[in-house]
Formats: sequence, structure tokens, C-alpha cells
Amino acid sequence: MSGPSGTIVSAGGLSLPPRAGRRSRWRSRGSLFLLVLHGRPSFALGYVIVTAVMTCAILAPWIAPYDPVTANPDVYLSPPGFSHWLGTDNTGMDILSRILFAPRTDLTIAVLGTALSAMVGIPLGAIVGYYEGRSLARRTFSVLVMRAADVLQAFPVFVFAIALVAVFGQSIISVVVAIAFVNIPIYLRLMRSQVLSIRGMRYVDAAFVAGSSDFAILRRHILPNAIAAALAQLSVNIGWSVLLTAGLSFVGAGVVAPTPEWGSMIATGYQNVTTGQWWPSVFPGVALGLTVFGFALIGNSIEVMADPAQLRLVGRAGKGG
Amino acid sequence: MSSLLEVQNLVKHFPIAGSRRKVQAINGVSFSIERGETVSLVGESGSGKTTIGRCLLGLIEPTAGGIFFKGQAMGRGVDVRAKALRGRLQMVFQEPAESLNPRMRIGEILGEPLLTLGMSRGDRDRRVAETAALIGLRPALLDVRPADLSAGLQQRVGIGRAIVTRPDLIVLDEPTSALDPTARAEIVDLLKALQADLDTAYLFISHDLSTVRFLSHRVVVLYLGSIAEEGPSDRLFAAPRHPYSAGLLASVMLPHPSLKAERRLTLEGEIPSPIDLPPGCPLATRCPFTESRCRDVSPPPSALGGGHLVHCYNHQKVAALGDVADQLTRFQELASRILA
Repeated sequence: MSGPSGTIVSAGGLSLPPRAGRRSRWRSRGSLFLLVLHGRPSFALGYVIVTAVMTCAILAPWIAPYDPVTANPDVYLSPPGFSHWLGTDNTGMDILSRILFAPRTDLTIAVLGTALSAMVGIPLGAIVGYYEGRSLARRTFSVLVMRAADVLQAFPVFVFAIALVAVFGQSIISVVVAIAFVNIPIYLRLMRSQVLSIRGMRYVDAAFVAGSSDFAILRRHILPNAIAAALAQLSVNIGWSVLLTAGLSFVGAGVVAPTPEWGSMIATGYQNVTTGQWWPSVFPGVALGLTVFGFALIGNSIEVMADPAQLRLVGRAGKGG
Repeated sequence: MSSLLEVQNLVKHFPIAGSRRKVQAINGVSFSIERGETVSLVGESGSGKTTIGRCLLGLIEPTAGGIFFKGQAMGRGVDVRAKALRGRLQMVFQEPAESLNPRMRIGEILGEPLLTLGMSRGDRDRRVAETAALIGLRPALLDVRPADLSAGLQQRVGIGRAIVTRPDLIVLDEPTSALDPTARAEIVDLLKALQADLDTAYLFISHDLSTVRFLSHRVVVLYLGSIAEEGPSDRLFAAPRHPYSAGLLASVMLPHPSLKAERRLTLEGEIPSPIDLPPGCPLATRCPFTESRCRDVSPPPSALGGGHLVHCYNHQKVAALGDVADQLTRFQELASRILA
């Protein structure tokens, strides 16, 4: 898998034989993807789950049998059956319909929150890593940023998110902001450590000597080589943010009741579990678990694709059977 | 006319984290480079060769001393990115693979230094093609990425990136030491040919004395961050006058059974730690001629004529040992006779 010199193979140089032109590069990316799926079939499950969840979110108005927020007191807490496949909750809302609509809320919040944290954390981490150990002012800046991240991470994530929601008021936007906030340190640290190692590379020195500006060096050399790890983290993080959204809603700090959302569904259903009506909270719980699992699998597969050493193992396993 | 580059009393001390002590990497080094000339810095690992090169290019800031480029003082830390200096100074690195961005195409890598000069796209493409021809790179290879090239070709690209701006001076930091002998010979030939074509000055940093002998006009021998001896290459190799250079030259191994190094002078022990150096000659702990004044005061340079300077009180004693026959020249003659 390595180049003829056998010296370096990095994420970008996962070179299958020499290739020229953009098209063959994409073709090799595609075959890489198939190779990974072949070697680790479980990853395919992740892609299936996530695709299914997203399809539900998009097609919910057409595939859901009932309106997700219309209560029908006549059929409250009816067990799974033909008219209500997954039963109804204690106000008589159809659970299947609510589960199908829920990813609209959960995924939107999770994706927005994660994207926001990545957009802040990645450039900030790159700058902090690049400036570390330069002039005094820049060093002070990076020390301040890193200590601020330490403070953020010192709080238990959940407590911190609840506090943020309490400060900003209970709305979808504050949940998004809370999720973004608790995730920023993850990207910050990840990028900083990557950038610190790439900054020492000779090609960065060469660009400096040639007169490139700091911005050009960051954009052309440091970011493209450092970003792979952060991108692999994105998917895992979305799954984790879905869980956090549900958790916040479960304790009542997130999305408010009638909006279909897995966490609040579990919360409204859990009193009924003790009296034997398990369906209002178990089904959304299963949906939530599957979604997080799916995103984690995708994150894993991206990690494998970005790491030449792991990729080689996978390739061998794939060929072996 | 002033020298292309003049270094005066360059000092670089690295602080040690959590300690008041310092690594004294360079202790007052002065030398100059003329236009189109190759000056070599030689010495063991830890003698400060690379640090000097990096100071000249502003990659690290010197602690003290002056650097003058074409007679103009450059700030304490050289700003190679200042508009007037852009593209005038370049560098070639030891590790060819690590010096090329794995995600960029060879053509992009070669063209990158031109971006800072504000050249038009057409001019850039023309210059890149021209440079590829100069370094002997097939045009098809401009579209591949570094991992697809052999180490020798990668190093050619590294050199191409340096000459693409037609610089006045290239700092070559051990450009051949990571290569196998064939690739090394090709790179050395390429460097010679390029200098003949472009009239670029080289600061060649190496511990490979046979390459140094072949490439350089003048040689500066470094020991623990100080200059031991400097002079024209042929004089210094034929008649080293500093005990350290004599010892260094005697240690060269040549791939020929009957050309044995003549060990008239051996240096005992290891290079000492560059942390908190005592005053006096840095070689005092290893030198066979050490006297009490060697330990107290660093010897000033003595001029031996023809630009040959030696920093030793006892250079006559070294001369009295007789000249170590210039084995490298003899080997070269032998080799060319066989290969002719």
C-alpha cells in the first residue's frame, strides 16, 4: 500500500497505484470505501441505520400513520396492535408516528450543535497549535484558550449543558448552543495536537522560507493534513449529541413536551413502566440506541479509512475472506 | 562589493525548560558567503551546523549576532518573508519525504514558492515546467503526489522547489544523507550542474566529508558551536591545521582497501555536552596539545594566508605532524581512472 519509497503513507497518500487526475482519485476513494465495508461488514450496518433514520426524518409526514402531536384521549395507553403498531402514550398520541418524526428534532439539534462546535473548535485548535511556542503574545493567547477549554471540560458535560439551558432559556436554540459548547474542547484538543505535530514537518518550514503567510501555511499545509482526525470524530459526535439532546429533554431541560423527541417520549412514558405499560418509553429508547450505535459505527469506519495502518489490516481480512 | 551573506558573531542559546541552564548551540560564529560560491559547514552531530542554517532563514531566532544579506542588516530574527527577501533564500531538507506535503501534487509543490512573488498563472506554469526540466523530472510526474516518487526523485523535487524562485542562496541541510549512494551521486551532480547554470550560492551543511570535498569552494569546520577552522576546500583537506579537523579528516572511511586513513592524530572521548560550556577552547578536554591557556581563553583566529583561518594556539604542532595526505583527492583520482 505504501509508495515506492516506502517512507510515508499518510491519510492523503493512501496510494493505491499511481493515479492522475481527479476522476481516478474519486474512483479510488470509492473502491476504498467498498474495501473497508468488505473487510468490516458491521460498518455497513451503521450506514444502513443512519440512512434509515434520515429517511424517516425526511419522509415522516408521508409515512407516519397519525399526526405526531394530536392526542386522542379515547385510546390512551393502548398496547401495540393493528391500529397503533407501537401503541399510544398516556395522552393517546401514536408512538410510531412520534418515533418517525423525532429524528427531525433530534438530528437537527445534534447536527447543528456538532457543526457549530466543529466550526469553532477546528480553526481555533489549528491557530492555537500553530502559534504555540511562538512570540509571547501568541503563546499567552494559546495558553488562555487551552485553560478555558480545561475549565469547560472540568464540568460534568450534562450539568454544564443543563446550566447553559437554564441561562439561555428553554428552547431548541439553547440546546444547540449547549451541545456546541460542550463539544468545542474536543475539536480544539484534537486539532491542536495534530497541528503541533504537523507544524514540525519540513514542508511547513519550506513554505515559511519561501515566504508564505501564516494564513497560507495553515490553509495549504496544516489544515488539509490535520483535519482527518476531526472529521472522523464528527460522526461519533453526532451520535453522542443525539444522546445528549435526548438526555436534556428527559430531565426536562431540552425540547418541551408535545414536540416529538425521543428523550421527552421516554420521560413521559417512564411512569407507566411501573404499571406495566412499557411501550411508551421502550420503543423510543430502542430508536435512540440504534441511532447512536449507527453513528458510532460510521465514525469507526471513517477512522479506519483515514488510518493507513488499520486499512492494511482490513484489506488483508477482506482478501482472506 | 559586499558579500552575498555575512554572519557576524552569531550566538544561539536554547533555554532548558525548568532550568536556568542553557544549551549553547552556537557560540559566536562568523563567516561569509560570496555570490555563486559553495560554503560547507561540517562537524559532528550537535556541532550546531543545522542551527546556523535555520537561524539564517529565520526559522529560529538567534540570541545575538548580526546577519547581513547583500550588505543589508536583517533584523535580529531574519524575516525571510519580507517582500524584498521573498524567494531570495531557499532551503533543501534532509528528509525528502517529510519535506513534501503528501496531499499536494508535485506541480503544486514546485509552484508554491512562486505564489508569494505575485507571478501570473502562465508565468508560474512556465517556470515550473522549466524547473522540472532542470531537475530532470518527466512532465507526467507533475501530476502525481510525493508518495508515488522514490526518495531520490523526492529530493529532486525538494531541490526544484528551492531553485524555482532563482534564489541567491540555498541552504542545503544534509540533502544527501538520507539517500542511497546512487541517488546521492545523482543529487550531488545535479547540485553542481544547477550551480553552474544558475550561479546560486550554496550553504552546504553535511557530515559527509567526501561530498563536501567534491562540492565546496570553502569549508567551515565547526565544533560545539564554534568555528575550529575555515579555509578553501583544497587547502583545508590537504593541510588541516586544527587538531579537530585533522582528527575529523583522519576518520573518513573510503571504499578502497589500500587507502587507509593515516591516524597521526586521534581525539579521545566523546563530544561533550553543550550545556554550560566552560570558557576556553571547546576541544580542550579531548585535544592532545592542550595547555593551560587553552582552558582559559578561547583561541583567536590565526590567518595562515589564502583565507585559511585556524582557531588554535598550537596549529604549528599540528603542522609539524606532517600533512595528512588528501586521501579524498587521491580516491577521486583513483575512482575517475577506474571509471573513465
